[in-house]
Amino acid sequence: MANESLSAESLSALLDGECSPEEMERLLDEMERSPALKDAWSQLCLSREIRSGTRIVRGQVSICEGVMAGIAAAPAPMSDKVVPLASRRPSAPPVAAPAVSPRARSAFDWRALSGWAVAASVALVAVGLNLSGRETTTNIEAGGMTALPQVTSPVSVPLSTRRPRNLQTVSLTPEDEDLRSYLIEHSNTLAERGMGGALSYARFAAYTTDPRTSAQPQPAVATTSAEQP
Amino acid sequence: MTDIADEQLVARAQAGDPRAFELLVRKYQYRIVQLVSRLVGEADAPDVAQETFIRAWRALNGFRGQSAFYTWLYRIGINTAKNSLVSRSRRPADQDIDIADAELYGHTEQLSDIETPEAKALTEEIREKVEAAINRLPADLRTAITLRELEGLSYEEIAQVMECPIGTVRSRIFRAREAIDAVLKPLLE
Repeated sequence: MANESLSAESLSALLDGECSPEEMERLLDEMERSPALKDAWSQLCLSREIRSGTRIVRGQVSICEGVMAGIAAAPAPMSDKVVPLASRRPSAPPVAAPAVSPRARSAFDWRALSGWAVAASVALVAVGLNLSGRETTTNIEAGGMTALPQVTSPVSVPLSTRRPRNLQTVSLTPEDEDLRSYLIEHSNTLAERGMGGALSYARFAAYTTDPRTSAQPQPAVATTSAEQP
Repeated sequence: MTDIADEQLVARAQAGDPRAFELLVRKYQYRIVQLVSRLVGEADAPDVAQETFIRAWRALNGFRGQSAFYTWLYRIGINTAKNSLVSRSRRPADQDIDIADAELYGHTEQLSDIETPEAKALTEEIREKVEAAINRLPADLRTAITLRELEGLSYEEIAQVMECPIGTVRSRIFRAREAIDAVLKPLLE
């Protein structure tokens, strides 16, 4: 009982901004366990509002529960702090999400949909460029442009660099899985904020090989089919 | 006056602690409901206020503390209310509340001029009862709460004025609030 009174006194101090961070932490923990303490905070705030002139309707319903349910379904604000990757791995069973209002759900779907639309467009452009590049090469290889003056390029660009090199499926280590999960999550978060997360996702999605393998030095001169005897 | 408390809670909420945000919701829900009811009407006000806080949570990382938290919340409330009206193809109320009002007032008292006679009567009744409750307080409690809420002094300043430890100030202010709440509760139920 004395503890509760002490906590209520701390709440009063918190309302005045006279709580230390440690005390606030303790209060937040206690409030999580004690609905009565939450109500005490609400009452303190209500009383303060009235004294400072806010008009209150008799029997005004608290909207707090609805807000907190909505928040549980909404993405959390991005923290500048780096969260350890291990905690991002979905090892724990997912928490049952509270009911989301249809409006909120439809807003989220549209954002996700628009993100995927951008990703699809980028992929189509990339495929188109790749195909046109191959076609040109084929023409040159087949002598289709023999009428043009022969120009020797000072830099020989190996054909292998024009093709998607890393399409083979490889097994990823847990560290790579972490990186992959992080990048996907980061990309999705950016997409939700309308910051082109889908584009980076598309870029990332093309990268499916073991980074250590791709980081290995390539041969200085890659041979192409045209150059092979 | 309460900016320090808001800053602390906002910082924690920005770090991803919804418990801190819940305290801000509980603190400002009355003002926001009152504010948006000016635009969308009393019936829709709770829903719009709820949406306001959810939007605020989503955008919280964008709050840089360049204005008071309530000012920022006020803007979101106004925009949410207006969006709500547009989505229902209704025109906003005649009295258009400009976002700049928040900077000027920072409080809804000046905005709330649409009131039913019943609400006005209740407000007046509450004011009288609170005044009476404060006057009935022992002198040390009355002085502490007055210096805090009317003069805006910090606990340290009050301790200097009253020549007592800060812990005593804190206790006196709390007990004064308890006494006032005891009077207010029956009026609001």
